[in-house]
Amino acid sequence: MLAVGLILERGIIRYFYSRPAEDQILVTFGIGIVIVELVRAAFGNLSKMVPPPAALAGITPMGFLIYPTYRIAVSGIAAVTLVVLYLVLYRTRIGMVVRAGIEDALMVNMLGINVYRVFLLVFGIGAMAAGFAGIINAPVVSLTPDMGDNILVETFVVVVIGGVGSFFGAVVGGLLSGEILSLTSMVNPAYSEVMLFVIMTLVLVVRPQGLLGVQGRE
Amino acid sequence: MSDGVGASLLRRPWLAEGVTVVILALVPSVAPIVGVDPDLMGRILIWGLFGLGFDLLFGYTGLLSFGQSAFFGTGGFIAAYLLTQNLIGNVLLALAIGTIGAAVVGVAVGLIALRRTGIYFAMITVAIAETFFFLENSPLSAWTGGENGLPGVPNPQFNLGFVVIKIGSGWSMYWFLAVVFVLGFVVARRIARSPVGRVLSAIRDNPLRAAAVGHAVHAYKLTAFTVAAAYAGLAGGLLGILQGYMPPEAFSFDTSGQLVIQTVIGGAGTLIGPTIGAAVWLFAHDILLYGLGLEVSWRLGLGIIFVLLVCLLRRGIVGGVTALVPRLGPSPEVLAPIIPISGERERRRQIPVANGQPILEARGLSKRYGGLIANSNIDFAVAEGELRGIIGPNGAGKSTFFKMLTGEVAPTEGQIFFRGHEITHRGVTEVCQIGLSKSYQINQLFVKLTVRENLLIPALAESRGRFRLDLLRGIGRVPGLEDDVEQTLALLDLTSRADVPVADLAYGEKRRLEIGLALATAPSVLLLDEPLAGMAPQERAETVRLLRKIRDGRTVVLVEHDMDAVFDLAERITVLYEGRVLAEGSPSEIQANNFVQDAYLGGVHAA
Repeated sequence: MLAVGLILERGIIRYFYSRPAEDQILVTFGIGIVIVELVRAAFGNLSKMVPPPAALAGITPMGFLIYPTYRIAVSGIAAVTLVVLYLVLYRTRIGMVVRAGIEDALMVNMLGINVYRVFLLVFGIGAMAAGFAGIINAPVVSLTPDMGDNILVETFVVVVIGGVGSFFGAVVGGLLSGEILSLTSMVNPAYSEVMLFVIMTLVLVVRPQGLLGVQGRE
Repeated sequence: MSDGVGASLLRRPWLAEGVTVVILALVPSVAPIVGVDPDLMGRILIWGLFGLGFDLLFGYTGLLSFGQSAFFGTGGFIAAYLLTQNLIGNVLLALAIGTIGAAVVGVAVGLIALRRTGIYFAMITVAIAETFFFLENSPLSAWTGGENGLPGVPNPQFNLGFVVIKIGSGWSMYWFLAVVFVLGFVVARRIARSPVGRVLSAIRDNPLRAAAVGHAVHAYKLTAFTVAAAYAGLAGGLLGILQGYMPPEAFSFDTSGQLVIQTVIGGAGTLIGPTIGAAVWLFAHDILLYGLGLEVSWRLGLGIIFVLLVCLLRRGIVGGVTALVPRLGPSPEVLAPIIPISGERERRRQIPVANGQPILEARGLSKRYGGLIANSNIDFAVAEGELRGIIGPNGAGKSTFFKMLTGEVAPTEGQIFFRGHEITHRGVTEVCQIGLSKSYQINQLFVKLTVRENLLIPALAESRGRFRLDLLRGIGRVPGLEDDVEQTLALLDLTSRADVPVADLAYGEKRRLEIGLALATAPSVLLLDEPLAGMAPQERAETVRLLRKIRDGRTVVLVEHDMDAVFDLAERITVLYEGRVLAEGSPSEIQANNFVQDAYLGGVHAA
């Protein structure tokens, strides 16, 4: 996935940094369709199941409840990944360049840092992270070529609720969204997704920049 | 519009409509030869109608929504429900109710989604559309049929008294859809060419400036969103009638995605583009999928074409074709002078009222950004008809002060009065409508429009107010508009360049147009933020002459670093230093002021 990400960035995406947000959405949307169709061509259209690794199969008793071991492992992996990402973004030079580049890419570039090479890296890592998430999520769900669609929408809901440009906003938004989905499912599963979007709407009305977002970051 | 077929045919206002009618009329005789059935043509027209509204939203206003399925489904299911439950027998009435229902939902969704822009706007529309999909699927399944949809939507019948026209499934259905499509096309073209349409393309190009020249940008965006929703609702209702069945997939994300792809393939900002795109998509779908059984490759092929078009040809097939046909290129005659020029137009805001009161006054104005004090306790008053200069070294707070006066930045403390009425916290749009307008230090033009179209935008705000819903009015029918624009063009000495796109102007011309945009709002007080910045000596001289002309009957406040120009033009000068007023007086007083010399010209002294 890192390779795919790097090739796409060099081949197409980098020409879109200076174009309007709408063009960026359109081109990534189009690339998404092409990749999904390529996957469909290679693997067929039927859903597939992937068993969890043998070491993580089975269930674990946790005193008051029992839980599939693999899901506990997924939570652990997610937590570790978050901590690593935080450390990279906020405690390293490259993280500082990334954060500065988001604010003003041109300025960072003029300070003698090749910010576009950093963006290339970010895009590659982003693609890799998405691929990794797909892999660790695979045993939990059934695999279809277009399994990404719903994840994408939910990801944006998380970011909108948490707040754009805020690391902790995304974490809080993610936890909150998960709770909303689970708690509503206990009452009536049909409404769980609806409830998520209702909460997003409420957040937008009361606090358009998101719970932990900073005004003016788009 | 400076771009697209939508613009180029304005010379012959009904040509596009005429060509469309002729082509649609020929289809039933030509289509069977190439093996196209009426059902395919019907679907193309429905998607084309859906796309007309979407193009007004995306191509004209620049708002990329991925949630149009919500309105397509809403309109479709309302109409289908009314018809299948026999609540309403008249198909047209059911369609109308479905359309209105979709528009109402559009207003509600727009109020939420338009709180954000760019990628977040797009994703919020997706999220809301997904909500509708879930609602249709389970909570509302008692009405919508859930996963089964609503079967049994009846065919329309029209009783004309002497004859009953029954619409069946063959070419009669095509004729019915073609009539609705043409009506929709005519209305969409009128909207695109109405004052509202002009404002929408200004918003696409530069929303901040559109707001600054006095247009209620949010209300106009909501208008475009609602119109698009209404078109979607009508198209959804027609889909149920064409198929005799309302499918739940109408609400799916794929519906929105297909619409976006068709619009980009056909050409955004051209109105007819989405219909062309729909024809390409549906032909490819039918031929490759049903004809050749290539389930995967038709989507893959379209996906690749789509990416290539986004990368290389932003205006799709229609844009590509018009570029090849020079005759259809951008028209020089955008504003046809339909109304005779009326010389006695009332210039209400320019008549100075000499009652001794200052026209513009700031009291105790302060602005703090966290710990940084940009402006501190500024008292400032300008008399009616005065030309005031503001000088100060870089970082003295001049631009911040200007932004507070025009309502772009809210002051931390203090008040602003215009002719004795407080205008603090009124916002830039309303302050402009009250009569205060600013030209920017860095050009803020509508870059895809011509010079004339640029000047039209503030003139429309001046004559129509901050918001007006004249969706179907011809641009030539706004009284005095042509006259206003011509006058401003002459004043700026840009008459010969009137139909040149802004991108092709020389820098000095762009600077004059920048001043012109503020001027065309007919302000009582004109604020100029460094109008001479970056100009060559020759251009400076011309612009100084222009400033002398435009100060007639108007109050002008000028921020400028060119000392010769300021001391030459201004009657009084205010000196800002470190966010405070350091001195104020006539040019000679300021020149003699020791504080000013020390603080501001200190470097010169020392040297």
